[in-house]
Amino acid sequence: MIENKKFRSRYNFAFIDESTKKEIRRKLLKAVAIPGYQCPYSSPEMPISRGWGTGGLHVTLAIIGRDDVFKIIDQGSDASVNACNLRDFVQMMTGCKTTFDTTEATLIQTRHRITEEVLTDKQIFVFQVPQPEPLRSVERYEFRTRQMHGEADYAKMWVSLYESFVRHGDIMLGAGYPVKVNGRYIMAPSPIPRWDVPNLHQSETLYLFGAGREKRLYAVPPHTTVEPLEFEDVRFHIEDFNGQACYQTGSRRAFLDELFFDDGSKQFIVNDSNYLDKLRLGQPVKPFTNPYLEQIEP
Amino acid sequence: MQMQRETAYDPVFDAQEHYRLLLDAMARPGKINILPRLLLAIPAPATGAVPSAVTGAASQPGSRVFTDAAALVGFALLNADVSFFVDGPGADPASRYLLVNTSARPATLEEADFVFASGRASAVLVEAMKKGSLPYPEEGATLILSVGALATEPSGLGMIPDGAAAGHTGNDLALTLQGPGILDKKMLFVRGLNATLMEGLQQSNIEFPLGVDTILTDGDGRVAGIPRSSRIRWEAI
Amino acid sequence: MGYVAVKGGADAIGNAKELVEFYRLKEQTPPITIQQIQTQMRLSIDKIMGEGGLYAPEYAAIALKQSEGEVFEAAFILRAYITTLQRNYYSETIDTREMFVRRKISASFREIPGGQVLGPTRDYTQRLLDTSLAEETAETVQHFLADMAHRIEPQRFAGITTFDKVIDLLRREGLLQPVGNDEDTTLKDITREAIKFPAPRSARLQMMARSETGGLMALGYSSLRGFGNTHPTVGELRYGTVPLRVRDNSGRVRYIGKIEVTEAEMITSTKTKKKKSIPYYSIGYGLCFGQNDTKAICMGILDRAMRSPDGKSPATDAEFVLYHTEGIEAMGFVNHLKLPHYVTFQASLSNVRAAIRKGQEKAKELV
Repeated sequence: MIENKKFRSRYNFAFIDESTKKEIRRKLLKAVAIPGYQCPYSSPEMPISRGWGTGGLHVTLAIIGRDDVFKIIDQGSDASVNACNLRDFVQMMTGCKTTFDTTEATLIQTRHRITEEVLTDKQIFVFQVPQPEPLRSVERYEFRTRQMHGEADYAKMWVSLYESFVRHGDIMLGAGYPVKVNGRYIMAPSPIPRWDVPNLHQSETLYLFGAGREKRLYAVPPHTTVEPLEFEDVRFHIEDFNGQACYQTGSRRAFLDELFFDDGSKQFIVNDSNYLDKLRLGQPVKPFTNPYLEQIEP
Repeated sequence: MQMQRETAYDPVFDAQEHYRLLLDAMARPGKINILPRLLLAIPAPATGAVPSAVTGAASQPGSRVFTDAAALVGFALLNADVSFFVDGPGADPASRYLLVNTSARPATLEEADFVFASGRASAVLVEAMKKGSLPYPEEGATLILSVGALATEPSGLGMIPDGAAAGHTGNDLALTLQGPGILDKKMLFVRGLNATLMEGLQQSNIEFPLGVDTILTDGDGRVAGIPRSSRIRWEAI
Repeated sequence: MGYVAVKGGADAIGNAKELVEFYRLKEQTPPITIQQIQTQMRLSIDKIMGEGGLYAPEYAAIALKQSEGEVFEAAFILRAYITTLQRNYYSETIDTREMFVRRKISASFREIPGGQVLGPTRDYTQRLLDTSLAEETAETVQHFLADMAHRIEPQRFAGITTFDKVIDLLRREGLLQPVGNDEDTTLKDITREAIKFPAPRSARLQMMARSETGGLMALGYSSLRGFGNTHPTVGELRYGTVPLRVRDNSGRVRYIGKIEVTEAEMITSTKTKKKKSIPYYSIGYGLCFGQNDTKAICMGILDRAMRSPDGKSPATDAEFVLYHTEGIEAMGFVNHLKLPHYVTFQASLSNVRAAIRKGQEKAKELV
């Protein structure tokens, strides 16, 4: 009997072919050498939809090794449906151990949140990025935003922040607050809440950013200055939960989700699912600290 | 001589493990990582002080112009999509070795994406390399230097090798690095690195984001990174 | 809370996946074979290959079956499949003058070398719903084919040759604008590097070759309706098979097979900036896999339009056309809005509530 091998599929370790992995790896090195600069890359096709995390996957799959312990979260939750799908994919393509525990992971991929627990120099943190260009809202053309970054001509950005203040009394930017990296490039930190932005500054860990659809990679090395854009008299501030605490753990120094129950009542709960689990189980935790967090009553 | 493809190297898992060490080195300038020893058949450089036509760098007895670690860096990063240039004596066999094992294209110093050279090369080398453009600074080249030794403190550089004492010009440098990836400052001690080369590097990177990114390698598998974002100071010791 | 239940995410997506299969199979109709799809849904296959960017009719048929007929989804499956394949060669340039022509028409001239060959087209049929298709049987199929077989004249095969192109006629007469130095002739491979703007023509044509047909159609249409400056004539539209060749490691050129393509050469006049300069004709070019007139024609319109940006029409704006007709990316991103965005939303809620509070405090102060 002749075995029909025609439609049998076998996959390379971490799915992406070695040649493309090398290209991504080279671009990541350049991104690390030029903090905050968006490096164009080939962005190979993935079996995951564009806009659903292909960039994060490119970075993860290009650098992951057999001994890595992989964690992936979406909006702070390990159990979020898209995180589950991507975790399955990475696991299937690498055979790596996966975990929900932030401290156990060596490689963490995230959509739109930084973990509440502090990241170390033994970990790499990979962001999924929908729109890598922080200037896109003030300039629609790529060839112009390229020039603006090249010449550090950020006037349009500052004007738009000022206009926002004039109109609303504050800079009305929520998730994805633009930052200046290493005193040179304005960068989009991905749609993380303001809450997380200060944790990019002078961290111990390497932050890598992958925008698959837009085909850009960028990086914030450890111990790098990351400053949210602000004016002398209109300062950056993190979200204000107005004294609310997590209804299950009483925590006030974590980003909170709003929950609506069937009877119409509302409660707040810690967003980071692993952090919430640890607090509920009374396990020791090591949260990030920064000057903005320290102003909140614990 | 017969140019063999390396069979001891695993293009999937060795490349990945070595790359993580390089990524870490570039993200933490001055930090020394060690690439594992693999049995490589790197061609020996031409002996005798045949100076490089480009940079005037001569081979020093006791120093390898093209370390095993430099070769491993090449294997991790090079493929048919990029170009390279090898400087110094032994450039031809080294070029062929890289071509056979990576399929990368040999190119001129001015065009090459990756430049392999000895730490004894002069500033002329770096001056000629690609620095990128303002809209696309990543097109600036990567310099892979083979030096005598890398260490976290001066004693780590070891004894001056026999036979080299006569010609040893006190080329031990203490580098002080500052900038992204470094808490306050980081010291790195290097043997077999010309101060003028450091000067050339510093000059090339003065117009950040344009510039050249450097990976230092020594004969014992040590690697360290100096991205163009680093501010460098040095003094002879 | 089934969406982000404490540990229920994996179960939810597992169940959703099974439900998809269930919906496909629950009516218990006989499984459609891949050959049936490949042969009787030919134009869907062509579209899928064209938008996936992979010439593989059998795999396109599998993808169409897998996606229950959703062409976007099937093209996506093929596109993702490309990443798993090893790339060994670039083919030699295809010369469509070598095409074994199945269809060849020109709107610019009444008679052209080899004549106007309509080929297999629905252009001149009436779009009346044919309910007899509901009663098609193997017998009716055989009957039709036997009838056709009688009418094919084998002795005329030898007379079929390759045909000169209409643009060759124009070129010989000196009517075509010579390709100038400011036309960027750099050859890029868009699957290997990110496109940088301004993009060279090779990149623009490559991107359009795998663009989503509907997107190209909308923009091509806009150009004809006043939202643009290009209203061309079909110089020539061809559909047929072309031979594919590659150069092996020893330098020898080898034939590896043939593929079906549709090619459109659209004739337009050039916009001249200088006064008293000659208004030569120029060509807008389109080429895609399989039979897809709409796509090739719109490629030709937009190729021309993008070469004369007027600063206001989307069809002339290369960044607009190329980014937004990339079907896989567009589908992915518009659908990504379904992903949870509650943290993003919470961040904005915080701002809006604070602004309202501030406003209320200010109002109190004024009282």
